[in-house]
Amino acid sequence: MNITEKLKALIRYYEEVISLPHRREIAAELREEDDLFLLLLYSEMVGIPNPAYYYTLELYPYMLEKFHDWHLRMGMDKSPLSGIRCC
Amino acid sequence: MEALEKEIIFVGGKGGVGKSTSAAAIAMRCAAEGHRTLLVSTDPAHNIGDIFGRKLGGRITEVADGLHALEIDPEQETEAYIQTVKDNLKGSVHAGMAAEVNRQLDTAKASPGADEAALFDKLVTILLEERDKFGRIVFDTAPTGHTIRLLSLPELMGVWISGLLEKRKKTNENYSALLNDGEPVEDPIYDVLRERQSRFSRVREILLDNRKTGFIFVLNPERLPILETEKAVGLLGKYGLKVKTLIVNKVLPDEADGEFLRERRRIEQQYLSQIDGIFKKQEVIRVPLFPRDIATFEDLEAFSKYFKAGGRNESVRV
Repeated sequence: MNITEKLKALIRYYEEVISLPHRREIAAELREEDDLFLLLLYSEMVGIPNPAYYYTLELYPYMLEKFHDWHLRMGMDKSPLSGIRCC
Repeated sequence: MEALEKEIIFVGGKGGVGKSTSAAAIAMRCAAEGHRTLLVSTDPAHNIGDIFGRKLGGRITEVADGLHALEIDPEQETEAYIQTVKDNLKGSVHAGMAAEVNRQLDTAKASPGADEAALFDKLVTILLEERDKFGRIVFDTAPTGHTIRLLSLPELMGVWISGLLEKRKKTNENYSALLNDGEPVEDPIYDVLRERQSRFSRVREILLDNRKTGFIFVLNPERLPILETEKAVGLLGKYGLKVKTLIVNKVLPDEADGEFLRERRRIEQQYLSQIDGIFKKQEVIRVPLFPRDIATFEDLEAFSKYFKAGGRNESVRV
């Protein structure tokens, strides 16, 4: 291994070390965006009118699991909304 | 009448002015001209079945040669929609929860806006899927306010769903770029929303296409219908929907005599010229008041004759 390749490997390692905590941050941020999306979709259930509520019902099967993760993450054992029952 | 050349015709107007009768007469005429025609009622208080003297029951039914009719039943449509959601849920919910989830979905049927959305959804389906089967589709709509709302829904819902889609897309892109080594993520939610959006935008395109779609308003030569029609034409214009034809129904015929009717006709003349004055850009068709209810095919045919003969500044005879 010549010196440039060694240097490159070192840089790669350095980048990985640096980015590790960032990955966690990014994941957390994206999860928050997902939570906002969940609110936009099912706002009707917490009293905010949603003109397309009827059409969000067809997303119910896909959202159910995400919703379950959400309320566990928020420290609630059971679903807080009577409109969504996941567990 | 210019609007008769369109593939899709919407008939609107204030309650009681003769929308259903006009729509039925238009549909009959289309059928008589050899087009396979579908007459659809979107009014929750349906009249079409009564005009043809039979129960339609939410299904496309042939009522005469080449003429088919449908009364959209929002309850039935909601039921079918919820059922597809339930079917999709099978497999993603464990069996113990299924009953609870289904119960939950059933309450959504009664949610505000469900009927309207179901009606609208059926309208969308007809516009997208029945067009190949029919040469002409005539919509008998509910009174004005309801119709304006229905016709503005593609835009309203479209905006909402576009917003959701954009948000979803951004998150997905970020996820794939930052956490998934640039590999695209599979997202059924995005796909479902996309499909919705594409349906709405296709319908909007059809509604806005002047060559394919025509809007007709029915009114009577009276004060309130004129005012309401003026407002409605303006409002629809804001959504880019142009009303090109007006049917002035129940005009007193020349042969109606007597002191009372003479006085009535004098006042009516003012309203007729007012209509001509306000609606300079529209084709105005006059149809007389008939001595009897329009209840038979012969009556409808007599009624539809005026679609060609009638016109601005012409008096009418039965």
